[in-house]
Amino acid sequence: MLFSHPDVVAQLTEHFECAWEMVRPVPKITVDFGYGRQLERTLLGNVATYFTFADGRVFDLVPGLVDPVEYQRRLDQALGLHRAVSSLAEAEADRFVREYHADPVAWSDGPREEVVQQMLVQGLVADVSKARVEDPIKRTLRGLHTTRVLDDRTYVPAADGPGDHLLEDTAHNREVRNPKVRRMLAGQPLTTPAFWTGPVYREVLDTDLDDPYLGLAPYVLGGEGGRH
Amino acid sequence: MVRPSDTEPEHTMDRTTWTLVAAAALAAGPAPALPQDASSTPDLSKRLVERPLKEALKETLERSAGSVPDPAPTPELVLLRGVDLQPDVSKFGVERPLKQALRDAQGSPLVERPGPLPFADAARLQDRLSKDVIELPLKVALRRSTGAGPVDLPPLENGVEPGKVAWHGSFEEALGAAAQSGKPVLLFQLLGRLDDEFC
Repeated sequence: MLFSHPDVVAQLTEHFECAWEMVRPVPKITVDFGYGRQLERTLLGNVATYFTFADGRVFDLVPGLVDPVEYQRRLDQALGLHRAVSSLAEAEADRFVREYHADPVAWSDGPREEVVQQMLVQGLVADVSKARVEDPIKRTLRGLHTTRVLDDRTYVPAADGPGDHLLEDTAHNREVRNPKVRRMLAGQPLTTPAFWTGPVYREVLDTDLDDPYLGLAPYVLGGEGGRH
Repeated sequence: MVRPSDTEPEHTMDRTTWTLVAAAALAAGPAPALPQDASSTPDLSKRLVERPLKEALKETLERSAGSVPDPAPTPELVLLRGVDLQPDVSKFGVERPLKQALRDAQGSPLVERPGPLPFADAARLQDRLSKDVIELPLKVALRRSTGAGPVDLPPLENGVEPGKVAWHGSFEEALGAAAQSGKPVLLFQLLGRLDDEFC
């Protein structure tokens, strides 16, 4: 389980205020083998991790479930971004976050803490003009790498076990879903998780929360796809 | 001009009448013995079917008019009066009696059926069902539609530890803590519950 991984737990405990919430009950399937033996499993257990300021505005988001190494990388990115913008005024923070998510090169590795601090000290971020702010930010963010070395903590999945699926999910979430989320965050001023829940589940995680059957009706009941 | 309806009374046989007719026919006993040359008799159907039916109908109509007393109830009459004539093709009406008859024929013991739940278990199950099936989805939908945030979840009966992370009780509580500590808030959203064994 992700939240039992010691490094993840240590990072979360030290740097974040954590909460979880259920957006709706998870669909379950029960197989009755007879003689009192039943197997119950969940379907469509999709998750999303939001990073917010203390006022509840979302500045970063991790779609889907990823392995501990990728999760820690995203925690580092979120932490660096938070440090970069937490002292800014609301409009400047909003601009910074949107520019950050709009630049694939920037978020592919995330802002390095000391570079962000340097930006703040030199007043690059405080200047609100486009030429003086956005371009330096882009230049600064581009091509930088996180300071943490993750290669020495390689995640080794069990052969043919659930770990294989987790690696596949991790790759899919990083390569396919993450760019979608970035585009959404870049196109919308900072707002709350309640605003993002529906669009994120529907457009990124392929789970329409307004559909009572969560898109599974054609597979269970037959008929055409779409909301039922 | 004389219309047929003026001279011939119109008899419509509704379901009740039909039941009474059939009951009377059954109460009258078996049909007379078939003569040896019955197959060659041209009015066989009239003698064996039409005539007894007409007599039974006539008697029934007279009885319903009060001129003839009701016959003593026979088992067949009681059965016909009490039974819904709609055939029961359900599992209860067909499958179970058939299974039981087969078991009886084979000398097998009766089908064992689970007894009723103890009162405490039944009450708990009913409470859980009403909360999980009705209350909770409604609360979630209402909260989502109004943007009011998540629902305060009751503790799970067979819950598990949601990892080793020190979770705040709610997003609002985490925001309050973040305002004090200066840390960012991490909100983990999921389908189902993090403290459920299946999540």
